[in-house]
Amino acid sequence: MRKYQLMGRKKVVLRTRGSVDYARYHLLSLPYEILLQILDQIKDDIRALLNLSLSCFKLNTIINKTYLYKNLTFKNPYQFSKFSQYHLPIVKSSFSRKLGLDESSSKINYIQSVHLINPPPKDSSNYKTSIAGSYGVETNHRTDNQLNYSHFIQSFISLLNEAFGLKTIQISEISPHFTFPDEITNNDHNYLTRHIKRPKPKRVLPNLILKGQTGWTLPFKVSHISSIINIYDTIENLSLYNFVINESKLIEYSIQKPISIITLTLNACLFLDSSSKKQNCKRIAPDVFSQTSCLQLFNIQTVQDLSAIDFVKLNSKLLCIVIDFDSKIFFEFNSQDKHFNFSRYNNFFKLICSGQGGYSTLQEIVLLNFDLFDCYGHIHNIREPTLDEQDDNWIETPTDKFHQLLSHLSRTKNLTIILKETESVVHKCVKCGFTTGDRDDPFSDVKTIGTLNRTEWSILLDPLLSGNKKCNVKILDHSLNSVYTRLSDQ
Amino acid sequence: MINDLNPDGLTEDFEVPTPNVRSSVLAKVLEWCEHHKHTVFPDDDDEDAKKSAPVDEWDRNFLKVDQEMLYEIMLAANYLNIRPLLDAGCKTVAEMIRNKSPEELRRTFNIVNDFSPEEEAAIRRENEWAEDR
Repeated sequence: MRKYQLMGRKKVVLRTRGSVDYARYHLLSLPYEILLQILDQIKDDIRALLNLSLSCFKLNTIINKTYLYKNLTFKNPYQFSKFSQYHLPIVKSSFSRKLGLDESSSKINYIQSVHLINPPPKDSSNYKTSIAGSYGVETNHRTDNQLNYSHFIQSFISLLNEAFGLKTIQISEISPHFTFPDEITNNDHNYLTRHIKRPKPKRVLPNLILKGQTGWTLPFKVSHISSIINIYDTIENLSLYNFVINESKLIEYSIQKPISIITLTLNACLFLDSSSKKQNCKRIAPDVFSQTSCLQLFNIQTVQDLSAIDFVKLNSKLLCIVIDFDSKIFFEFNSQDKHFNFSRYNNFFKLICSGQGGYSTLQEIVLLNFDLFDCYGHIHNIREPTLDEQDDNWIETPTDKFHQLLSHLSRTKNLTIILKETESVVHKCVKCGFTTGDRDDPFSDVKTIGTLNRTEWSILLDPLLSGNKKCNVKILDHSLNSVYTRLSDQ
Repeated sequence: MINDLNPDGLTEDFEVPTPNVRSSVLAKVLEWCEHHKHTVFPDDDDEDAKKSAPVDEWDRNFLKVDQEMLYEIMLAANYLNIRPLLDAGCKTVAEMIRNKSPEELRRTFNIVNDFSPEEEAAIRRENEWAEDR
């Protein structure tokens, strides 16, 4: 936080005070880290924190800074209203601001994350939602003392304008009727702003998380983030939970103000591809994702959701794709077990790792929750054809094997595999190099992922490592500790 | 504990510096160590397990000392890197904080009230929103 950001804040406690000298062995003489360790024990007991913060100035400052105002969660709009009434007077004019009439409180400087639950929709008093046109569902009625929509929006914008230390905004339980106002303003438009006034510093929001109301899958609209886009120039990571990404709706919306959403994370989101309906129209990237260079797909619901990759790569800036391998779409289920569907997805990974066409910009593929090493198996003394041989051969080689998947993945420049938390058995064959252990022990030839040495990894990853020697390979465990690394220049 | 104080891995005999630790406090710390020599504590990295584990009965009685001694034990545990003893001390102090009004807290911990009544009222108002958390 810059020094100028701390100036001009309203302070509740105005007088300066000399520190009280306590005895050597006193609660307030304990080192700061021990005091924090004590307070950590009561951080969930809000009553205890509030009472302690009222006991003296020193504890008040520590508790405000470290607990009460660092990570804010507003369970409902009413609570946010109470907060904003005291801490965020609505800015009416720059003149009144200069006179110090509507300064926000100094606590705003401590805020690092804000979580708003159940934001109020416009005119929420008597909403009825038709489901499939057959019956109506009445959404929650809000009591009179709850914050009205316009006040909520004003307070929220004021918070974003004032809280320069904000790193995460989370809005959850978003109702189907909630959106921010549609207008997206570009303050750099006029001549005065561009040429005479000093330009505003660029603002970056590291994390924006949006979660739909429980039980709903909402169509994502630009108006879900419009007020945030108005204030920030860059959103480093936009995470959407339970939304529908409708291609045709998003490309209709043109954004005047440049916005960079660097990473887009879709968690349990559905993708609706309109390109099949408009065969003659050239697909274009939506303005909102025009700068997106990393796409993360978690908890993928349907095969069609993978088309989100095609949609985002239209911007020709996609550098990295993260895919959650624990998503159910990758597996075939039978009564007792589940199996990775190699025959279906090997070709998919062959395509995205090809480095051709729209995938030419792709630099890195990250596979999360990877748990397929137990599929490793091969016939001894039979050489696998190289990738070039596979391409040239008119006889189609089987494509439903684990080693084929690794071969396809080897075509990417940088591959990172993050292992699933539970360790799996990887191999039982002593012949091909897994020779450690007592052979008389019935379990000696059973290896788990966590016990492999570098040589054993090399054997296991052979189709990947020998397929393309320029591929940088990183294997990380679930805690992101490095397990195996092969850099192309090694 | 001895190994923690010997980060350079010296093999010969070395001095364990314990400045500012009174002999009575060191005796208490050693008593605690003797009692827990076979106890398996949660991993240092497992913050959740550490936080949720209650202070055991023996520790609770062991730490029933005057506040000055309690803080001295905690400081010694911190200096000697005896994490479970420091955790038990922190939890004991936290229990002393719970369910007390600001005035009771001041009396319990001998804290000087350096707020004017107006300031105290203003702080109550500014934190009103948090009471619903």
